[in-house]
Amino acid sequence: MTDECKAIRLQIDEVDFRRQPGGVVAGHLSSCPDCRAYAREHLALGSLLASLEPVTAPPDFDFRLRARLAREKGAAQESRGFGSFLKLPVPLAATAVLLILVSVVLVLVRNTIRSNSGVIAVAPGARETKPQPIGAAAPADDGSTGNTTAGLKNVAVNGAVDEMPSGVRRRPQVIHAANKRTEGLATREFSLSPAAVIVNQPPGVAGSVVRVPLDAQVLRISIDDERGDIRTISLPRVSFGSQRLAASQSFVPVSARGVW
Amino acid sequence: MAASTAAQTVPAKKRPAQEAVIVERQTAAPQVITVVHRISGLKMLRLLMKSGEGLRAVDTLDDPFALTGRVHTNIIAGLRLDDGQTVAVWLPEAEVESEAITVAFPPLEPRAPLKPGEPDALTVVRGTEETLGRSMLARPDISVIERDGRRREARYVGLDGLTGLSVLELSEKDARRVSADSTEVFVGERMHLFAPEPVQESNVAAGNSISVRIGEIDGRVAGIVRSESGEVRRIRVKSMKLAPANVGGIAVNDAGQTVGIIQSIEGGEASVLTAAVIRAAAKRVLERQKSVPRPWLGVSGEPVALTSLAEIMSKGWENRRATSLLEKQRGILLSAIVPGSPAAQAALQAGDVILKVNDSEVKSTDDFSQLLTEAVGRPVRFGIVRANTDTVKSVVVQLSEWREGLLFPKYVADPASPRDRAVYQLAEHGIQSVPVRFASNPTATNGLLVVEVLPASAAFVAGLRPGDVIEAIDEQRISTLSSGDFRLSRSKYVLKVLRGKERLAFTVTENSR
Repeated sequence: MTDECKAIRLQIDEVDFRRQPGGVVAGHLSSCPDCRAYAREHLALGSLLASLEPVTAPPDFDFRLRARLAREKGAAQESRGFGSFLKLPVPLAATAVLLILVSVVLVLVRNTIRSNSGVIAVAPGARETKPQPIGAAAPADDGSTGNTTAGLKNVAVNGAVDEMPSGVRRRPQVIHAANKRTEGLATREFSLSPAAVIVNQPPGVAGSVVRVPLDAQVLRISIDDERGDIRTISLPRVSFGSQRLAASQSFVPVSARGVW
Repeated sequence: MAASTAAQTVPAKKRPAQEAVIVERQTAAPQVITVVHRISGLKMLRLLMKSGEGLRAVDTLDDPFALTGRVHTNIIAGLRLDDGQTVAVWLPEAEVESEAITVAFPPLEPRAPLKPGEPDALTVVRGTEETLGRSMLARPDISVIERDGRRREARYVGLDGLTGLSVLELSEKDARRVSADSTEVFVGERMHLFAPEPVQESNVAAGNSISVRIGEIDGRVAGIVRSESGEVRRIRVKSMKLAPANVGGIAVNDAGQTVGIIQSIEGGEASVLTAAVIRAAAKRVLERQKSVPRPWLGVSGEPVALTSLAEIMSKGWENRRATSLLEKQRGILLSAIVPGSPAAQAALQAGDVILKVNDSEVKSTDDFSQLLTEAVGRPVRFGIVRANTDTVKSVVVQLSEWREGLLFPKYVADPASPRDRAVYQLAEHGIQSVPVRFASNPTATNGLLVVEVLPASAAFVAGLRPGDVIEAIDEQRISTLSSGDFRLSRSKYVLKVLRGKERLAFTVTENSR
């Protein structure tokens, strides 16, 4: 790598992810395959970052947050505080400390297992693919390497909040359509937990469970996210009712608001 | 979550007496079925444009013409009516299916012989309204799944523009009885909202498919919206568990009677179209055997209650009068008038505020839509106030049928971008397009994918069709448009197009028709 290469790469680093390099940089890239590859990686990283989905709070988020705060406040008032703990007999205090330590270890182990499970929230239509260098042909969307492992566990039910029969609440999820997330990438740290599936009833109660075939083709589009950024996303292959498809809007019913 | 087999899983004390007639193990609400609607890539792009998404480009297509293939499946509830054959369903995306039916196709003139040096237009399209409509948009791909898992073929009859409901006709008549409609609804009444939902099963993830069943959530009637004649127009149902996935769901009362279809969900409340409204919509569509257009006024606007003082003043209102208008919280402030529309013919202007429709006060967009719907087929009298007058003026307008036009790109063309200017100017010529990048060269815009062509446009007559990729306009290649002032000729221009693996050229002469 020459000094010129170093200087060019510094310029590439400073340029906006979405912009194509121009001028001196473009001239250098045309003659330097190494720097060209570097620029492609830079652009690919930009596309990846741009494809990250915003997290949307469910409609009742505020209500739940307040309820939880109120609950925790009440619980705190009822507790006797740390001072009372110090007054406990030594064997009892030791047992309590041991229990806390065991709990911490269990939580750590569980988190480790979860982070190694390779489950990433992916829209049903999206596939996990290795990042492609710019200029290389993308893998065909023929469904041959579908997302079926993530598949139904990760069906995106945007904003849906439901209760399990046991009363355990599931967390609302957003449609998660970044299909370039791969293991080992930093973006995994920001990925959400697998999208929840509405499980309202035990099977067989409300009628048959039927299987609906989905199409393998995934449509990738760039959209303006109305915050001045352009994101590239894969549209989900399936939606229920009027779930959001892309960024800000739902399906628009026939009587679009404000137009008569 | 409440269970669906009413007699079996719901404590008897919570059910009214009439529940006793429900046979044990009978599926609750058998009138609720699953409707599967598959959408092609092109229709999806149109839908995104209509939805107001800031669609900027179609990225890295392996094959641009796979866009005619299916890319999305919407799963939603359907309501089987008691004739055993008709299904009413709220398909939010159905408008992309029905447009070609409602657009008036002009008769095509025989094409003039090519002049020397003129590029060949390889495709000359001739045909009737019907065949052209079919060529633009393939038949809707809709199937129906009964509660027992049986799949039924369904024909898409049309869209009722007044309500937004779609009507399907099953290929076979189902003789099974469905519950009667609910005739009385009261605030506080418990509702069961049924809609398809994905099922989490351990063994279900194999293959490109998803497991689905009809799910149920509970709600309570929070309000009833009546017309002036006392008829129930809509019912508001409140539930903490509502989500966009519940739109289109069927509301059923404790007795299993149909109450209506969820039209929209906002702020934890579902707006439910009543069974009577649904029946009327189905009747309208079945009688015509095609879509029923909605009334068209040709304006855009918003309720005064939702506007700001600055916005009203920007329409020419003086501060004191604008403040007074805002305080009253009434009326619809018009922001634009479509040239040649019924509103334009009645001399309505941007900045006018419509306070009344046939003596009924207008406060919200829902009010306005409903009043216009009720006025179908007869002249409508608006009470309006203007920026420069204090008196309420009466204006009579004859509404026409809804006419679809192109939606201009949501993002305002970047003045520095010739590509954006090309997209915008093509839209002015009746061609809706979106930049497309092919997988072979994902960093560059390779062309403009035609998403829609107005059948009345010269480009349509010349042979341009949705799915074509415009590679060059008047010898200017889209991929190399980088500087200079791109301007599309008003009278004549040549489009070089990629269609499948063929390269075609169309000479578009604006005054040729």
